[in-house]
Amino acid sequence: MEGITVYAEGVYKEYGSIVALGGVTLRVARGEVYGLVGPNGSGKTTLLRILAGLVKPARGVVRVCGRDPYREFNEVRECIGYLPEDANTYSLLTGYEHLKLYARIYGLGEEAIKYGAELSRLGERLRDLTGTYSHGMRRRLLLALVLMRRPRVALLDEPTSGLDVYASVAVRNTIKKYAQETEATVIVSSHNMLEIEYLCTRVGLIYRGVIVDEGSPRELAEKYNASNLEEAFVRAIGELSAKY
Amino acid sequence: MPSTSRLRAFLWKELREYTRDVKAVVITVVVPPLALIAIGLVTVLLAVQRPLVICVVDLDAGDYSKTLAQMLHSYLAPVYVVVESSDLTTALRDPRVDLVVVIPEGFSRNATSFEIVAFVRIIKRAGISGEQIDMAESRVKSVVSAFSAMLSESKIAKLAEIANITVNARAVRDPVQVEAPVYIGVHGEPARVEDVWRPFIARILILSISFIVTPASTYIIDGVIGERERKTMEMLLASPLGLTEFLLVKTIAASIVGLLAALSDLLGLYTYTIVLASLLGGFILGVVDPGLIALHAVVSFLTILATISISLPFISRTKGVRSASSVATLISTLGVALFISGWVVDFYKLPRGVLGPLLLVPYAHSVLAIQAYVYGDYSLVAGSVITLSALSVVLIYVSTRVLDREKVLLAQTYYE
Repeated sequence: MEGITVYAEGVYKEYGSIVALGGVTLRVARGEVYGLVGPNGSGKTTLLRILAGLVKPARGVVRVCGRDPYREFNEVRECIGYLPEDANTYSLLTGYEHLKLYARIYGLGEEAIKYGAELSRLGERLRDLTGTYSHGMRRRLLLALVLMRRPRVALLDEPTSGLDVYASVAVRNTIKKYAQETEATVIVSSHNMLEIEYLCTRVGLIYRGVIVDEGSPRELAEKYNASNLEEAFVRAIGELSAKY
Repeated sequence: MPSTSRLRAFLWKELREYTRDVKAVVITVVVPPLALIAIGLVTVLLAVQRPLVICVVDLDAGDYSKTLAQMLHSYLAPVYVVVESSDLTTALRDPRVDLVVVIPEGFSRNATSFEIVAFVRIIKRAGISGEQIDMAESRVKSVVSAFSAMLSESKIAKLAEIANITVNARAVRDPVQVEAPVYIGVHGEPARVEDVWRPFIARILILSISFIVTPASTYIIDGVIGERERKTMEMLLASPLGLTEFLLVKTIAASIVGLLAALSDLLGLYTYTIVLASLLGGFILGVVDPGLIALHAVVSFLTILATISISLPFISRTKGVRSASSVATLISTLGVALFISGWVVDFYKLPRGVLGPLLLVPYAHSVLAIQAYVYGDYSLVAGSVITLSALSVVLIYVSTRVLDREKVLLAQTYYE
């Protein structure tokens, strides 16, 4: 367990008759950027919500920063930063007011607000109401709100979802820079294989609520005899689809 | 344990967002005072637009019937449309006519006779607002009664002249009468005119609480379901703010909004009272005593708190604004029903067996507190206010205990 910041063992979660997670096992070490890749409905969001302590697992063991995120929520949320997939901003508050609000909620000072402003790269637009922002600008601000307090574990659910190329590059660069500077554990879920290859040191393929394979992007590509991660993903999931 | 700095930060955000929504603020502040005035104005305007039509049919055409017809016309015309006719069938077939006063043939002869009683017939058209037509009927009867008194006085005078005695016509006509009633206060002291009007003002205060229940419910729906639907809730729940602080701030903010509505409601009430005072005389201003107004403010705040605390557990677990609105409407309707019954029913005088079960509903305490104040029963006022506060606090506590992050977050049933 030494060096492991995120640990999950045989985690199950059902919503009525729907099995969202069917026994996920995961270990992510400090400083690692871990990519969670899987088709829609494979359990990525549920897994991240469980790691963030928002959803209670039906069975299994989960530890984040050495604690149970659901039962010891107050302690764990001090060390995690969580960006939900479809998170939004308050349209009647300015970008700066968002930074101020979250800084106060986290008990941080002016320095954190400055750092957040820098991470967001929104400059003077921070003075405008976020209702006037583009989707990409809002996403950058939300990412800054999560990272401004320098969490030891950053859980990012599809951080570039719905963004254009330029906005995606900006978000990706921010994540990469943050991971390098802080040695934090970052778990990113994404459908964008290019992004995963660029950001992640290790990737987990999740299918039907189970992590079916794991490795570095290069290892996975070699294993599935593919030229890149996208091809490897299609082959891996294709094989499984044929089985089920 | 909720942190005050986090609570302050989140409350700051709530109020900043709210004050920037100019339309919402205007509606909260302007609607309650306008509602009271509008209710009065609309009622008066509609009544003026469609006045009752009274047709006087004089089938006798004698001197006395003409005098009565003239009296009816001059007394009723300022309020109603009064028309005259000599043909009953035409009057009855005219759909515009609501009430027909028939002065039958032989009326003048019978009216002056010492042996026969003269009659006037009233015919009312079915389907007209009961209260409106009954009031018209009562006014017709008053005019006929005045005419009858006038005739009886001349008849008595004639008989006295024949008998050669001195007679007081009233002593013959109405030998026993009831004196004008005297009002007394709660403790038997003579009541002032303001004391007579105080229950009426208290009833208006009770009714006016109905206008503030809805803004509070609307705010809490938007506060909880809106956060979830606008996708701003999940990040907050994962932050150190937590669910208890989240719900607590939403409750405080909704109470502030409700209180704002209550204050403007009070402003409306004052305007309404001033309008009433200009019609009835200045004394009514003295009826609005500061204690009653202060109590109204406290009760309004606690009523809002009770509304929110009842709605919260249901609203937080509903799937969307539509179902949350249905729940809130149901709760508001319960409140409005009780406030309307508080307008007509004296809860204070209800038998224990009836009042007991009613007191399980927090809103009954709102009504009872104000009514008990009018009766000078201050211990019951205190009891009702304390019960209302305690119920609200307990319900809010229960809400924060029965709800958990997962239930609030996943009420929308979105899984991936």
